[in-house]
Amino acid sequence: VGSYSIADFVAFDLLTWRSLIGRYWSEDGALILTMAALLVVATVFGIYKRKRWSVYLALALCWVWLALRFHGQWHQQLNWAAGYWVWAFMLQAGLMITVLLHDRRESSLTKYQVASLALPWLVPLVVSWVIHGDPWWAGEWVTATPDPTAWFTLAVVLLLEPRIITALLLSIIPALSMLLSTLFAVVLNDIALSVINLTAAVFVVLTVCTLHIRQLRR
Amino acid sequence: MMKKTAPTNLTRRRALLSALAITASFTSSRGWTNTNTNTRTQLLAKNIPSSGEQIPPIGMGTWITFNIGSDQQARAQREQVLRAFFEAGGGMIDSSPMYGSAQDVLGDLLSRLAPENLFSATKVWTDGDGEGQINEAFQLWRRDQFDLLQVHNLVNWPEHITRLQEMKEAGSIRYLGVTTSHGRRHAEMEKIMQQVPLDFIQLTYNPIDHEAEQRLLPLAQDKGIAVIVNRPFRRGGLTQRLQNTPLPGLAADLDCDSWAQLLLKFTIAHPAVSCAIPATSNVEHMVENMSAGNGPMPTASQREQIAEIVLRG
Repeated sequence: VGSYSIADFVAFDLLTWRSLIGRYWSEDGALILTMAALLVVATVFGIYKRKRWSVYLALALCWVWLALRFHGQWHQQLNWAAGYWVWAFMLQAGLMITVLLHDRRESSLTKYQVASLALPWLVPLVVSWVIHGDPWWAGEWVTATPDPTAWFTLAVVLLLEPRIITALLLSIIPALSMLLSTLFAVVLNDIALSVINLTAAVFVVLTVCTLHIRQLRR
Repeated sequence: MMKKTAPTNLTRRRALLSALAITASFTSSRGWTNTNTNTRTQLLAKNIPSSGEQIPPIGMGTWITFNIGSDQQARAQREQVLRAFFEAGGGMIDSSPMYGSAQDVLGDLLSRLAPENLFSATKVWTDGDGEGQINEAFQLWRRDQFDLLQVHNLVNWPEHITRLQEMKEAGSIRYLGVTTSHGRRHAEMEKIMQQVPLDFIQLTYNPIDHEAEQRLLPLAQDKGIAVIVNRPFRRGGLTQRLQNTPLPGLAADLDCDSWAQLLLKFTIAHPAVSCAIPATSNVEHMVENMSAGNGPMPTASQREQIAEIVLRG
């Protein structure tokens, strides 16, 4: 392994990647948009009714989709390593369901606090859309591709998960996915994605700090 | 089961190259088959020392450029690149299971073009026993025989070399070799070259990455091992770096209109080098690359001048 660099594992260029995303949308767009709508409904319901299970369930479905369809069918075309992500993403879905079944408690945050903390997480998505210049419905959005789904999952588990240990456990795979994706983006000179992922990382840190300070004050 | 087929007859292209080699007045000490005795030689082909077979000195790599998945538009464009390659007399195409869909794309496009002068080279790259990966390569390329099978980046080389030797004896491959890139693992490669009878090695060599000049290239000459050079442009970095540097005067003497041609001539003019395999997805660049295989080649002192200018640039 020491004789490789990260660039050795990025066997495609940015143009090819964008073309893959375009073809993915044209073939699977209807299903992606349906899942995205489902996730929005589940998230709004979960925050206002303080029922995190609805968000977790919808997100777990997204992780299964990304594992089997995105990584297993599309990303696999360009990258032999995508097969490993199939297993990792399925594991993430399984972890979310397992946590849900074993711990029914809700976060002590109010819905207003959650909403105010969650709002900045929309920024990377909007920035992504503006910089990549994709049609608004066919970019790298939550449910469509791993990175935004990982950002969103991190936000959800850090804000809604009552136990910090469980929140961190559920953050491992999304964080790893984002980290590797950021390294790939740097190799591909995808400045937009690099900046977006780094911005998202800053949000993660800010969220964790906010929650930590809030806990200290209690 | 490993595919084992009887050795196939020489293709018309190989027969033609062999005939050229025979009828040429001599094979120079620098490895070129010439048609005249001038110090500036006219390129025909370079030598594979273990067999005496001649191959064109410019081949084609497929890292990144042919990993395009099922994109039919991109495949049609790459077909034009391949067509330009073969029309310009290209032969060697090199790929690997590490390159995503590149082998599948090649198999599809080569079946459309059915070139007679293909020199197929791929690799095995796994910690496992490699049989499944090699069989898959035959399927993806849609071939019964590979001209060259190499151990990619020396991964699990003792086991793979044994398998490749068996395959060579059975005729399902014609040559075997090992590869590395970026100047890595040269010491281990040198050890293998000393211990194992190899037909080919593949390594990185260009005016910046010239470590191979010290030990590996002279050893390859001593041992009669053909050398394939990957990343002659440092994955495009060298041509990018030199884009604002004016071509030196000697470029005109060498019939070079671009830095890409000059860099390729620098590489293939080394007497130990048999073939360079630049990668491109651009038809014009392919034509430009292939033209570097013709015309006068730099002398040793001219190569030194090129290296100095590139280092300064």
